[in-house]
Amino acid sequence: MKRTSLVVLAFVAASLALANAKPVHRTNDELLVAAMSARSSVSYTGVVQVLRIGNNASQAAVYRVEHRAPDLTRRVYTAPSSLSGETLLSNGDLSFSIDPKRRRIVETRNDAVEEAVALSANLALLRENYDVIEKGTETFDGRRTVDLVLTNKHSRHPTMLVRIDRDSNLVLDKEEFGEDGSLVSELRFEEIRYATAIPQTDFALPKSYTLVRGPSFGEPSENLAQVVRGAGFTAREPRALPDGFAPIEGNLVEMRGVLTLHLLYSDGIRTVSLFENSKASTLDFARLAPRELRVEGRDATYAEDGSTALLAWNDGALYYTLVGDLDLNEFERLAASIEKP
Amino acid sequence: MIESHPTIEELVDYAHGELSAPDDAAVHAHLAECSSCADAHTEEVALTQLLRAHAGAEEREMPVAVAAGVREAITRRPAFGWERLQAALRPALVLPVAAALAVALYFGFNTWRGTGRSTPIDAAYYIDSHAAMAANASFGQEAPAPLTLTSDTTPDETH
Repeated sequence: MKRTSLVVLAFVAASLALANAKPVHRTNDELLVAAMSARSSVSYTGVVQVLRIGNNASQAAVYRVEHRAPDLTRRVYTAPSSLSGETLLSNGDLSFSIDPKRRRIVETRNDAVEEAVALSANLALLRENYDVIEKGTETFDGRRTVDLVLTNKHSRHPTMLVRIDRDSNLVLDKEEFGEDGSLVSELRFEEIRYATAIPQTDFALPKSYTLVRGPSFGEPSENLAQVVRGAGFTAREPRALPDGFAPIEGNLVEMRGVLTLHLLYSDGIRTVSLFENSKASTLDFARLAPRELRVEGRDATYAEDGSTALLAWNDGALYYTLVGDLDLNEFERLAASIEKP
Repeated sequence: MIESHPTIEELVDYAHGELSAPDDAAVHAHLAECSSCADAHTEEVALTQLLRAHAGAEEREMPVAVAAGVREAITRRPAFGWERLQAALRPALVLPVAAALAVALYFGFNTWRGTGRSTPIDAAYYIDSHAAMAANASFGQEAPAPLTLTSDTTPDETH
């Protein structure tokens, strides 16, 4: 049996054991583990509201969701109007975007989704970098929740608040905060109903639609040194990461024919990706309203997409792009730490 | 996925959402794999946007004399030689034609400059790739899917 499968089974077993146990004496850490793996064992329906707040623009989406444990999910968007009626089906590492206007289905494969080892690594990082503090109990949308605040051990700033359903261990509300304490994103589950069985037919793809193969995201590797060696150019890595961040995974991807090295770093909650390639490439920011600035004496471009930011520049030898939920100062420090040609 | 490259006419129709569903799907899939066709499509979209912006900036009320002139042109006999040339060189016709020629020359020159040009990459590629790999972050179970859903306003949304 694959190591990933064993880890998944361990998570499921742990969550089942925790769900069956009396919830009175669980430690915050046990509750956290149970919440992170609850979707593997709980089926539900409900309405999800997602809000991502950026400095220049914010994004909101509302969708109805049906989830059949362990990994079959259907979302039907009701807002914004441009997405209304569109549906996203996911089944493990496969996603199907159903577009009724064009009568087509775009299939996407993301092998990273099944990387349960990465989930385990994230939990270890989260424990290392965050204090988990119980804020109390309350009632959220009619359900009793335990509220946990995750405070960054390095900055001492609260980074995340999660409201966990005491009965199912599902996270009913998740709020993320910036360095200054401002809200940067929120995800709310409402009208949630737990279902013992959701019919398989609810997840069927419409037969008359054309199936199109969309982007495919390959399985990342934890052996970053090997990934870097395979890049075909002398890749450069940052000498200093933000507090608590560690290398997680990497892979080589081809973007419009340009071989690109992708390295992911995380502190357990926040993440940042570093992309590098050696072929002359310019970034098309489309609707992101980019602004020009200087990084290490080089022209650079910065843009925000909701709470996700992006910084792109080149040093004459390589073309770099940072993407993640860091602020501009952290991006600039990270960019400055990358080895010089 | 179509085996051969789509023609420029098909790319133009694709950019304007005028292909049939199967053809639209086939071109969509082809563009995800073929960087040269994706470049041509990007240029076509840019040209369309430029012309739309130009038309929007120049939009104004139709002069009363134009309508009268149209009615007169319908009723009178066809003009010959120099009169026709004079009519064709009126500013109302020359300006849009000149704008279209300028745009065509610009893109034509860029295409002719050839392979030294840098490859344009949509920023969404990076954001989607980041979201895909970061999907396992703690409590990331409802993170955005690794693709952008389609809508009318973004015809080339899923790369």
